[in-house]
Amino acid sequence: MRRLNPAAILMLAPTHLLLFLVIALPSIYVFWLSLNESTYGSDLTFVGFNNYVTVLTSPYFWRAALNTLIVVNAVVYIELLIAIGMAALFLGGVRYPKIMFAIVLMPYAISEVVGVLVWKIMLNTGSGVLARTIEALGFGMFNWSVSPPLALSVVTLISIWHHLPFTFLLIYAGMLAIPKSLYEASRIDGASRWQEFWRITLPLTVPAILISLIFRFVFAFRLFSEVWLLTAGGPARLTEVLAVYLYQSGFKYGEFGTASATGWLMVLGSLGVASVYLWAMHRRMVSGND
Amino acid sequence: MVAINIDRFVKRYGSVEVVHDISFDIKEGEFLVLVGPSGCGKSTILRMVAGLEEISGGELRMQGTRVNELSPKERQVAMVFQDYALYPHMSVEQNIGFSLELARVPRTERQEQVKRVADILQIGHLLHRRPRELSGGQRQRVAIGRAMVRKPHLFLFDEPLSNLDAKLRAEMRGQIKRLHQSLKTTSMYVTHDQLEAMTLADRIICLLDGHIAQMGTPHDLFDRPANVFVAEFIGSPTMNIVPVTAGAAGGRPVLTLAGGGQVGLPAGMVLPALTNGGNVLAGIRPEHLSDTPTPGTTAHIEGVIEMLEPLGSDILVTMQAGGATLTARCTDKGQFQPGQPLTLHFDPARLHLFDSKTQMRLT
Repeated sequence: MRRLNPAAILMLAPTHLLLFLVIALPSIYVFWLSLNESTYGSDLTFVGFNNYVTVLTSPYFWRAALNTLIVVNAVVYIELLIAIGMAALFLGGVRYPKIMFAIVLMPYAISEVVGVLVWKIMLNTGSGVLARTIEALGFGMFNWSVSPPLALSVVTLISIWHHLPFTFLLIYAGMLAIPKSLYEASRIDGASRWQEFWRITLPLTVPAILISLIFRFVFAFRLFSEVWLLTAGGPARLTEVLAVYLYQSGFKYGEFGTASATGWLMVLGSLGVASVYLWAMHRRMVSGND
Repeated sequence: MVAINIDRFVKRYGSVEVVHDISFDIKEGEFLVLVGPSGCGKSTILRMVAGLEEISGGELRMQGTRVNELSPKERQVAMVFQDYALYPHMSVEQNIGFSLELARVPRTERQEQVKRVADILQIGHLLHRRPRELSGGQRQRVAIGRAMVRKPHLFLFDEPLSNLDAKLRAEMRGQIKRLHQSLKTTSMYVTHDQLEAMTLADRIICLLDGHIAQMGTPHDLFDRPANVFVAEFIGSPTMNIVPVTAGAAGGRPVLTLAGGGQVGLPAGMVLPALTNGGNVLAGIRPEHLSDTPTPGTTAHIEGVIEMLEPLGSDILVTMQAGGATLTARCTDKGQFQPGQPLTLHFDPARLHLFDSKTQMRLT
C-alpha cells in the first residue's frame, strides 16, 4: 500500500476537519440525542434504544414510511423514464436546441418553495387554473386536499417536475459521451434507429442511469417541502412522509429523542436503497461491463 | 469489370466545398488506396461511399446502379474505423455477429460464421472477451472480422492502422494484404501514410485540397509523379527538389543551380520544351543518387557533406551543392565524414523536371 506523506496529510487536513465538523460531529450528536429523552428546556435522560422502539411501534411512522416508499419509487422511476426519453430526443436532434435546453432546465432554477406554492395555487380546488381546467374537462371537482392518494400523486408530480432537469442532465451527459463512431458502425451493421437506441445508446448509458438513481433516491428520501407546503401531512396525518414525521415529532411535539431516532432510521433506509445500486455499479466495474 | 463508379463527387458543408468534382472507378476485386495529407478530403469521400455522409453532388453507382439514396446497410458495404468502433458492452463474438443478429440469421449459423472469421483472423480464443480486455492489434482484428463476416461487396478502411505502434502497424498491414489476396473483395482504403499506400494498393489516388493530384499504380506515382506535390508526398525519404535553370553549354544540356553550380547532362539528352526562361524544378530521389559511379550514372553533382543519418545498412547523406541541399541514400561502409567533399552520381533518366510556376511535370 502507498503511504501518504506528511505534507499530503497536512494539505488534506482542512477538508477533513470541515467534513468532521459539519457531518460527522452532528451525526454523532444526533445519535446521542436518539438514545436520550429530551424536550425544550429539559436535560437529557438516557433511555437506551427506547426511542427507536417508540418510533418503530408508531403507526404514524409506518404510514409515513409507506408513503415515502411509494412516492420516492414513483418519483425516481417515472422521472428516470421521462429523462431517458427526453435525452434520447435531444440526442437525435431537436429544433432550437439552446432554447429547448433552457426551457427544460428552468424548473431546477426555481426555488422549491416558490415552485410548490405556484403549483398549489394553480391546483387550488375551485379557483386554480389547473383545477378548473380539470373540472371543465368533466373529471368532476379536483379536490386533492381531502384525498390522500390524490394528494400524494400531486406531490409526486411536483417533485418530478422540479428534479427532472437534474436527472435529464446526468443521463444526457452520459449519452453524449458515447462515441459517434459506434452509431456509424451500427448503421453500417444494419441497425434501425430503434435498434440503435436499444442496443447501443441504452446499454452504454447504464452507468449514468445508476449514478442518477443513487443521487435521486438519496435526494428523494428527504422529500419534505412538497408535502409540508401542500398538505402539511394532513388530512389526519395520512399524507405524512418520513421527513414530515420527523419534523412533527421534533418541532411540533418537542420530542427530540424520537425525532433523532427517525433521522437515523432515514439515513439507514436511504443507504440501504443506495447500496443496491452502488453494488450493481461496483459489479459492473469489476466485470468490466461498461 | 467496374464495381464502383464515383461520378463527379462534390461535398459541401454549408457554403464550403471540400470535395471538388472528383470522378474515378474501382474495378471488381481491386484494392484502391486514397492517400493525402489531413484535410485533403479522403475520409470524406470514403464516408460518402459508405453512406455516412450525404453526397452533395454527383452520383455513386455500385454494379451500375445509382445508390446515392440507399442506407449504409443497403449498400452492402463494411467499414473498419480508425478507432475500431467496437461495441464496448458486447463480447468479441457479439461484436462480430451483431450485423448477422440484426439480419435475423439463426443463432447456430451465426456462431458458425463468427467462428469461421475468427479462425481466419486468429482471434478464436478471444471470442468471450470484451474489447477493453484486448490489445490494440487484437481490437483491430475484431474490427476487421466484424467487416468480413458480412461478406460485403465493398470493404472500406478509414485509416485503420494509425492508432497502432510501428511494429504492429507493419504486421497488420501484411495481414490486410494477405486477406485481400485470399478474399479478393473490392476495397477502398484511406490513409495519410504513403508507405501503407505503396505497399497495399493496386492503384493509388493521391488527393490534395479536395482534388485528385494523381491517380495510378504505385509505380506510376513513384516513377512518374505528375506534379511536385505527388513527387514529394510519395517515397521516403522525400524526393530532392531543386530550383535550376536549364540551358545548354558546349552542345550539351546543363542545369545551373541557384548558387552557380552546374550539372552536366549527357550530350544526347533532350530536355522538354522550356518556358519561363528555363527556370524549372529538378527532382531526384535519394535512392537514385550514389557515391559510386556505375555504367548508367552518366551525370554527377559535386558538393560537401553536411549531415549523416545512419539507418543500419544504408545511410542518408545530406550534401550542400552549389546552393542546393540534396539527400542521398547510400550503402554505409563508414566512408563518409561531415565536411568532406563528395560527388554524387546519377542516371539522367531518373531526373524529374517540373514547371516552376504550375508545379506540373514537364515530360
